[in-house]
Amino acid sequence: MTARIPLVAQWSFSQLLFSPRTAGMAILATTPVLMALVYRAAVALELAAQTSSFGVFSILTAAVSLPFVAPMLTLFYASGVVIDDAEAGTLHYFLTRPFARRDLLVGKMLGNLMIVMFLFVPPFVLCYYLTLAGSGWQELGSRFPTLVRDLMAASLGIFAYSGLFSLAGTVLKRPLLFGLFFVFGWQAAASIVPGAIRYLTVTHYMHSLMPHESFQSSLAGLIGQRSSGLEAVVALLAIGTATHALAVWIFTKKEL
Amino acid sequence: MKKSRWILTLAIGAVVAGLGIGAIAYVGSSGVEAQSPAPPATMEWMPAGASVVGHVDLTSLFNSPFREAWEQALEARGSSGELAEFRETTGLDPLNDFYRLSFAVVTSDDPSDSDSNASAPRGRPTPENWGVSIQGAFDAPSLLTKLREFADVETEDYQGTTIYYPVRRWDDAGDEDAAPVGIGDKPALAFLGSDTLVMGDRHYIRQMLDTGQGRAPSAVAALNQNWGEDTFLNDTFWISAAPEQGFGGVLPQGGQIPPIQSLAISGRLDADVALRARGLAANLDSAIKLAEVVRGFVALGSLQQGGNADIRSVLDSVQIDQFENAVELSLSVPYETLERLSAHADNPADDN
Repeated sequence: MTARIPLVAQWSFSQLLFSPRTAGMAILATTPVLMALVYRAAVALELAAQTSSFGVFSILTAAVSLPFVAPMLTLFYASGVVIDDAEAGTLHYFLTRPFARRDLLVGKMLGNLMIVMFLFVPPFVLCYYLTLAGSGWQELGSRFPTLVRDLMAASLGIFAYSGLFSLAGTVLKRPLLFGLFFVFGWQAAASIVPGAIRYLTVTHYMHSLMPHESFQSSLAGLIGQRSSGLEAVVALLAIGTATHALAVWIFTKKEL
Repeated sequence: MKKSRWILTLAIGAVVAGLGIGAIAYVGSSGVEAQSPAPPATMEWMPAGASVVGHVDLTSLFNSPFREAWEQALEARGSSGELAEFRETTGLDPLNDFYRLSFAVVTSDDPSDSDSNASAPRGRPTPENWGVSIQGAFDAPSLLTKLREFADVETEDYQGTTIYYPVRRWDDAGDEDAAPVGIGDKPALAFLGSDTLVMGDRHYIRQMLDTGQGRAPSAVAALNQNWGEDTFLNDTFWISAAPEQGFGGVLPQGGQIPPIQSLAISGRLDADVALRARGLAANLDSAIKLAEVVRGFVALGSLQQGGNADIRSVLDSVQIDQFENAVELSLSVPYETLERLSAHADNPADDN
């Protein structure tokens, strides 16, 4: 890694942080927090049971944060890693700067990852405390390994999605459409189709790492076993590394 | 860029603080495991080594919306008179005077251990000893007076506590009837202070007294050792067992289902009825497989019960979590849903 990469990443992060896109993405990222607040209000008004706090956190994680918020945040940033600058006409300007194409793309992808993690992780941790706050210190402590495991699954999943969508952003003219199809079409269908096709999804490996359950993963469980934790970690790292590397290689070779 | 660096630092700091608090809580919760939560008082009398141990917080149960339903059911069945007679005979109001109840059952795999179990097939777990501890508002002298109206009562002093053995009873005409009172082999009872009554087999009640008075180990220690800090001891009701002993092979055990070493079913009555079933598998791999099997059953149930909205809502609320070698299934059911399901079970034709 050259010294240029952190510089590009930092610059890219600061540009994205104050962009109008981030304002919209912040709303998406805080959706689980808003839902947790609604739950806390329902508990305060005695409309919901305090005992189901961990269940609420499980639902928010298994049905909202990991299968929806994480891929959407990643898609909206990673898919634009090249195309945004190409459309704005600033790409050629960057390419005239005195650093390698590889450093530019790696730095930008790193900046994208930083902004996605910045938007995803703090609300997710806040959501944990909001839902379980009323259950007492012991419950908070005993469920903490679940939070750590969820964060690990989310981080690895975001890394894998980031690679896939960055690759799409480098190769395709309409990477957003590809990403939406991949998340809501391909993954949704492949996870419930018998056979080995589910191994070609990111969500299969994320579900394998998650200690929670959703209806879709229950259905998938009927059709095929989850992967082991180690397999899931290796697969997500491999997908992320390979796709990021491929995106960089294509970008360095591409005629722009 | 300086501003964004500050914002990023702040966010990282907040996340680290959040994770740090959780880590401290995690470490701390292991430390308080041995001290809290305090087990229910009636559990103090349950000896270690029981195959099945359970507890019911009767105060919570009788103050829940279930009470109204039970009273209506008793009235509908014409049993309210029996309840009134019980109140008159014993001076006890079962719906108000009993606070909590714990019970323990010891099973044996060898029927030859007990003559009364000789008809049971060899190897099938059969109840060998049992004991119940009830906390409530008892008037011991009046209860004993009432008891003596129906039975001869022998007494024994055991370590400073009087154990009562009702051994015979008379029919309405006053003739002697040789049949022993109660369940099993000569049940006995003892009053402990003004608010606790223990009942059980002759030998087991001595074990219960030894346990309660600190001369023998309690089942609570074994439960804490099995189930760790996330205990259910203070739930409204719970039952814990080693399935191969306690449930007599009722639970499915086979090549597809990893063996469960311990099983606990517990419930809390709050705004909804929150139920949890937890199984301890032998190791991590078995637990992962067990969780998969349970998930499969739940998903299958969801698909099959598509027509019944209540059952579907119950199944939708099911959460399955796996931590190390423990698998936990939890669900939350509103009282109204339970009532409708109960009515449906009584009159399945109504649904058609």
